[in-house]
Amino acid sequence: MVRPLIAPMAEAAAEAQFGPLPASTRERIRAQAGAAENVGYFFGEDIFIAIGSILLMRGFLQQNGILVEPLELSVWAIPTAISAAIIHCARLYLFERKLKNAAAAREKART
Amino acid sequence: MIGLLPVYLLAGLVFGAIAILSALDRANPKRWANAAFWGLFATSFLLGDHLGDLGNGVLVISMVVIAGIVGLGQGRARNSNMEMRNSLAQRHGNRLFVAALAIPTMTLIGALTFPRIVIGGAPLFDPAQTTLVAFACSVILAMALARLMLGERVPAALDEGRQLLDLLSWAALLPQMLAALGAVFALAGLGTAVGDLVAQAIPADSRFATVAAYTFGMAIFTAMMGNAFAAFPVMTAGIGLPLIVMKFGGDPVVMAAIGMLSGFCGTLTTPMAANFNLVPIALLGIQDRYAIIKAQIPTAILLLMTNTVLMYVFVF
Repeated sequence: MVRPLIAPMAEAAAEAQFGPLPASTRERIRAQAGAAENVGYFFGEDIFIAIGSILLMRGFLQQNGILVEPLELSVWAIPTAISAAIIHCARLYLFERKLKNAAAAREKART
Repeated sequence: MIGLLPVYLLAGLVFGAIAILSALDRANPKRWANAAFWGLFATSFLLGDHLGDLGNGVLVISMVVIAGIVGLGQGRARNSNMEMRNSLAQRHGNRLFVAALAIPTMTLIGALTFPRIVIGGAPLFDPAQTTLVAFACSVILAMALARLMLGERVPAALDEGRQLLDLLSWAALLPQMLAALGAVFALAGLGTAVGDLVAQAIPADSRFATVAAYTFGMAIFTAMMGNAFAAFPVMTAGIGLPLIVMKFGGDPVVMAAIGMLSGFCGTLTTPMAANFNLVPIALLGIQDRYAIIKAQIPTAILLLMTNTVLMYVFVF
């Protein structure tokens, strides 16, 4: 999903806002796109009840004589999922501000 | 009573069909390796109960030998082409999401309603396995729905599934393999050793130190192994169950759920998790091999601290 969709969209959005970008900045945007996909995937998937990690937790607890419902496990994944979304969005916001400042500095250097 | 047996049968038949389709695919130079690999996997679903521990162990090692020494090839689905996909996509538009979203929706509905279905005084579904049974039913229903909407035949779906599976290749089974490795580690007593180490290192009656030892231990062990599935059985047998649950009376559900997610924080920081952190670097054409890891580390650290606090607040 990141290669055909997110990374090109992020790069194009940055270019539309801040003009032509140096190669190093492009790569950093692409890396951020890859990172955003991983963060979303890791901390979002556990909310679904039939995903591998939920089944592993359940199986392991069952072997140790504790029977739990997959739904309970997935409900307790929600606080972390929300925290992950807040933390990572805040970091992406800061990243965008940095890009903005760098673009302003480039503009200044040119004039 | 419907339990896991039909689900395993279904999975076994699907992987068996994929093995047969692989064997028939002349476009794949390694078709026999693919057929043997998925055939063995199907066998473990269909006959695993009768093979015994040794038999299943030999089966898993055979799969590793096939994937490691011969290697698996990329098959190609018979009837797949871009024009057909584009025309179907144009015709159906966003309705294509219906079949995909049907799976989680129906799984949730099934997981909530199946336990209440009682026929002749006995539950129709094994109460311990309703989620997986509901998941399997949802997949079948979603397939039927897609069949009705798109008019494709079932063999075409299996063939497309095979092509997708070949893209992932043996890595598709990595989580299961690593979970099994973690279980072997735990059986070998690594968990107890970790638990003893932690018991010596931290104040014996500090709940917060114990929770932090578990969450940070999950993250560090996951970073070393590359996957939280291998770390979970070891750290949970070592710290989670004996200390957080038994000694301090913590809730095993909260302990397990947030413990696993602490492990995922470790996955964000390690080149060992190559499929997430290194492979995309190549796909995206980035020079710096560790650019994604660098972009993830601050989130991983902040979230690991958040997880530790969340567990401390909610587990007791």
